[in-house]
Amino acid sequence: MRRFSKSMNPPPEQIVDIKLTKNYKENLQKFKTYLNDSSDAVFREFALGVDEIKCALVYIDGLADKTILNQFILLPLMQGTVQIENQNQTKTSKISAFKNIKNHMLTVSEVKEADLFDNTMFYVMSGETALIVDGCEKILIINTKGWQARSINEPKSEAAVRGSREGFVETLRTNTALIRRRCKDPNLVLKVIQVGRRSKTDIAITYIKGIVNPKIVEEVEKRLSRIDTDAILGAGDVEQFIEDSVWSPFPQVQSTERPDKVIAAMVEGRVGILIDGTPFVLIVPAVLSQFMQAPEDYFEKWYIGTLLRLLRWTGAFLAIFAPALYIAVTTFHTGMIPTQLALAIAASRENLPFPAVIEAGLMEITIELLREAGARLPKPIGQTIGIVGGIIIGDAAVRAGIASPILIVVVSVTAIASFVMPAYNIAITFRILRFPLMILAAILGIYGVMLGFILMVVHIAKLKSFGVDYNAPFMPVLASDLKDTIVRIPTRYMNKRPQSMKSLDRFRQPKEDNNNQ
Amino acid sequence: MKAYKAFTLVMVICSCILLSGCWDSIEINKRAFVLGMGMDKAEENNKYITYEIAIPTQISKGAQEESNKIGGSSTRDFTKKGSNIVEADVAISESIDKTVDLQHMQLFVIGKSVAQEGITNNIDFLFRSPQVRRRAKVVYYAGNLADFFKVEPKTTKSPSVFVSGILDNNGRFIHSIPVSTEISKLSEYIRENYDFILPKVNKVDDELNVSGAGAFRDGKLVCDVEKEEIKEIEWVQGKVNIGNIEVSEPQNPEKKVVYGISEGKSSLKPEFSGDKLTFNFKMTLEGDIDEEEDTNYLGVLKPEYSDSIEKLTEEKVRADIMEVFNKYEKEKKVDVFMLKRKIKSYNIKYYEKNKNILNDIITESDFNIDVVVKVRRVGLTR
Repeated sequence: MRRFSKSMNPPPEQIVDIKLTKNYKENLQKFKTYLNDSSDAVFREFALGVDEIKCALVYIDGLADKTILNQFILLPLMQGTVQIENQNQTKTSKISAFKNIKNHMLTVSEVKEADLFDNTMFYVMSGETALIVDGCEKILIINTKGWQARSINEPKSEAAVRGSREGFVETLRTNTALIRRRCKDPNLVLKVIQVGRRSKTDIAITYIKGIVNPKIVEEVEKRLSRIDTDAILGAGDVEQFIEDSVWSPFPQVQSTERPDKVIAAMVEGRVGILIDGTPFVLIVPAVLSQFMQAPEDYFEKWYIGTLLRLLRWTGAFLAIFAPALYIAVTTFHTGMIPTQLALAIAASRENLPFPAVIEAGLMEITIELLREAGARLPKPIGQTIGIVGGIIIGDAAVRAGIASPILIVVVSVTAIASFVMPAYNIAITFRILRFPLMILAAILGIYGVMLGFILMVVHIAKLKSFGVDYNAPFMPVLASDLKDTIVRIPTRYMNKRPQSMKSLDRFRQPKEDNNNQ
Repeated sequence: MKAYKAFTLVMVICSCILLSGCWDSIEINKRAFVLGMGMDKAEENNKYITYEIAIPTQISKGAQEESNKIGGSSTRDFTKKGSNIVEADVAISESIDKTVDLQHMQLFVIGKSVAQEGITNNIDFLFRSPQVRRRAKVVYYAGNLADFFKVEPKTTKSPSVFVSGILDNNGRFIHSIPVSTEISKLSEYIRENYDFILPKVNKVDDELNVSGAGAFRDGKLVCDVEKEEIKEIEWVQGKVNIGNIEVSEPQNPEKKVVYGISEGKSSLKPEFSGDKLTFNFKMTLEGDIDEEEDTNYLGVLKPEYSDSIEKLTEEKVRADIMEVFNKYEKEKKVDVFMLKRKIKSYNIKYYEKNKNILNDIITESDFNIDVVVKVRRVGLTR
């Protein structure tokens, strides 16, 4: 628990009474206690009507839209009230002021009342404006949210040639609109909760009622409500709080920047989790084969989609096993490779100082360093690093007698294969897994690689994501779900939703005969 | 306590893996790849064992570098004497700075003198050692084995790879080259005490060629098989899609016509009636006329022409097979047709009962031949 030194003032929540009073000054003081040190907090005091009833607007500069404040709040309140009073020859009393303002003065679409101070503070921090009226125990909360936000752009990490160009942005409301616009079903639910003791980040849970298994929604809500931390800064934070196994290297939650992917997941009976402040939306439950799927698989004909899937699975195999197999074959099982290749490898390794495992390890670490450097640097320099690393260092390593050219080919193929993965998080997993496998290969050869593979399979078989088997539909075998895994059958035959999601509504379209008419 | 237990478990697993692993790992550049192995007779019941070991840096050089003529030869031969292969292997290992690796062995060459003496008791190592490549081909060299490894082939860098290439690439198409026998197959022949033929490698004008074969009985070389007789042996053994047959021109017997087999099938069935054994051999050949000496003869388009060619070829095939049968199976008593294997697969009881006298039984047996030849294309393009 955080301790405050004696000289430090206690935090405001310990001294501010959350009950509002009729006293205007007291109410305003509560805000000031919190926000006095904050330069972006604005306290705009003014008088209402001929009787000059004291009022104040409290908002955060930058979060509240100034046009709304000036045109639709201050203008009607300051000028409009006096004009009406003059026209009607009446005066606005302290008692009727609050009701009049809400019903007749404010020309803003969303206005609500708050009677507890801590609620009010939350709204103000979210970009809404609090209106304090003298003599009233309640505060009016006016929706003035409007800040500078990034416009909708093409998703950078998941570009699709034939897919939508819209990607999520950092603003939750824009993201929910992107989803809502693509699915007009009134059963699409968007529940918002706040997570993070201090950040109070809005997190929206979205699903389609009638399709999703309520148990999954219940579990998601339960896990999200259990999060008790200071601040949620990104999708990764939430993911780590809600995933089933923290020790597993495999991602158990899918994250995407594409609204179409979220809709596709929801109609399969999954739940989307939108987090304010990040363009990444989480999808749960996730199964392993899901990470090998890209939107393009569905936008192109089925056999193209199937071939691409096969290519990705091959890529996954290479990304995990290629360096380990190279080590195993060159140090233990030379009989497994064609004679010409064995001789070529032997020739290229002649006079090399390190054993294959050290050689492969060094090159793998080098390529990881290059990748990390390329990712951190600005784009033009990052590309240069890639070229410098890939071509110059690779060539120099061979010339310097540190690595053999065949190993450079193996390492490059491995790196390219890991880039083939449509999901960034599974690509990282594969990158990590190949290091222990390389060590096992160096110690026990192919036997070690197989041992590593078996351990991996056992781990995956045990893993679950929100109650769904992670390796479904392979383990347990769900025959009808296999249609959309390594192969993808034509869309018109995909009549059923995934069995693993235990959806309430199993059928997504009538059978092919009806569908084709 | 739980953490302590988990830690202990992890430590036990790690130490098991670390203690049991690595000991048999040999880096690829620390291995001496044996491309070919030879065995010849030495004095006092000893054998010479030769390993043809690749020099990877020389052998894997590209064509461009080759033209620059940098460096020395691509392989080196190591010959040691020993009473058995293991002894010689140990002696060779003593004189090489790398670990001998037999997993890429392409060829096992048997010298003539050791072949005549018998190989059955000398090559057990090849069948037992897991290191030896099962698919290495076995040949017999009609000469002094020391010469074999000295030859520098024109198209490949190693004599063993060269001979293996001839068997691989031409064995199926050229009728004078017998289909290769691999170590795994040879182990079956020796175990079952079958007679067999092995491709014969000759050295002519400092060049190697594969032509004809050596016929082995009880693991000993009995005689050479002429290259013209190989196709008859392979037909009977069921490999029918190779060969050319030369017959006389129907209208002009002095001129020759060459019939080329494009496809065919054959079956050989032994018939057991009492003590009498009869072999019924049926073969159907389809093919073309490959060559014709009498180029002026224009009767080729007439059906009678192809009919007579078919008949003449049938007679020739029948006579040729019969000749080989009589020469080897009856006179020399060496079962080049592998009839013993046929008998075993058709009647195991009979085989077991007469195992030791099968050569004599075959000598007394009848061999009926039924051949149908079809000419598909007369091949007239003029």
